[in-house]
Amino acid sequence: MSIPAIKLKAKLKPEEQQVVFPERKPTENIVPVRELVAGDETLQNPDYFQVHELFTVKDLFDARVHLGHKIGSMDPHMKPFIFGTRFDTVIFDLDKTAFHLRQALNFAAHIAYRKGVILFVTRSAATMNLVERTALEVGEYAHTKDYDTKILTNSTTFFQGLTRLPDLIILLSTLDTVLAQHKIVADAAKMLIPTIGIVDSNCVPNQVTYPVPGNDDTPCAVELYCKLIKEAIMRGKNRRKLNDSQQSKAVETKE
Amino acid sequence: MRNPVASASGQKYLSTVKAQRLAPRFLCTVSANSEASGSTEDGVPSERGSFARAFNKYTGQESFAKLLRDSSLIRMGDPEKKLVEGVIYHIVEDDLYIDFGGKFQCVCLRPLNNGEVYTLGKKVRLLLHDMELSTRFLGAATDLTILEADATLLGLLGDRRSGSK
Repeated sequence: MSIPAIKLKAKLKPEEQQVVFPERKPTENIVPVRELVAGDETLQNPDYFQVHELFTVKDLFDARVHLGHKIGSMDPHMKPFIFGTRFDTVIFDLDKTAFHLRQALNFAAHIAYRKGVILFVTRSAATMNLVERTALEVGEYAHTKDYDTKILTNSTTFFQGLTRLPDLIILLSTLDTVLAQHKIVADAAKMLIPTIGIVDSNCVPNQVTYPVPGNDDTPCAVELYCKLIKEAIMRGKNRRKLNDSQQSKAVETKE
Repeated sequence: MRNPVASASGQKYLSTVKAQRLAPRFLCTVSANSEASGSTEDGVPSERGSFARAFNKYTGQESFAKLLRDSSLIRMGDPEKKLVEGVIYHIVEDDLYIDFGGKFQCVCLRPLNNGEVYTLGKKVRLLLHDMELSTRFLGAATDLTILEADATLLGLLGDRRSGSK
């Protein structure tokens, strides 16, 4: 039995092509990364905004950050962050939490310094109000109600116009309900938006860029996180204001 | 810089401002070396001498292991049948939301007898049963939790009728 021949579609002739790509020299407008880094003073110090002095391990302990859920609901990916269990209650290793929290606060400060848009997210009813207030106080944004995937993955259609997506998403709780992860974690990863997330023992830290292992249920722990994140962001913003005013003064004196 | 504060016993303790100047090299851990060396991320020196331990305690530099070992959570042991003190922080009609220092709050019904005394901010005594009501149901992959602790309300703190000393 003969197989019928497949007819190939005719290719567009060069003159029929609608898109014309301009010729570009390979090294035009491209600065090597090492030059950019060497020229930026904020990138010379690993902790430029000194976020390590914002808290101690004792502050985390007093805010009950070390308390996790029961071992029955523990996700195996959280094992590296855990100190042990005490009568079935998971206890976080606060030395590891402190390390991850410093990384996260440092990153948040840098994003704020570079005028990034920051989005605070949580679905915990007990802390929703506090998170929204924190976002308001730092002059950034919050989304604590029902979430639709389209706001990140199909933003142009959803908002009916070109949309600037957040440059950082801070999750005070990565869970939507007790059983499901918040869809924004996966969507942020799809849209290449870095995330800082407080991951409890029943959460999955894999898709979070800067996971901070710790308690996300107790209001006093969330109050501490909000206070520290607010302080880190304000340090970044104030530094930016200072640099801009110094630059404008330099321009004025030149003139 | 503040002057060193003299306590009633006459012993002088360093002011916290001076102590914080010593702190930064222990708290900055962003370099790769501290991770590779395998020491605790905080870089807190493990001192065995009693003065070193006291100094660390007052400057807030105790290691997490020490804080946990001395905590009331560890001293309590098995949460079941333990008497704890809580504070009523929220009330919805007859439901009293009580925080006793655990991860979760417990919700107790206002007692029928003399229930009006249970107001916001009152300290109460509880008989603890479970720190978190979470259990594995048949056919489930993971435990289901209701994000609440389980305790019985005994009475107000200091109320002789509730059996406190």
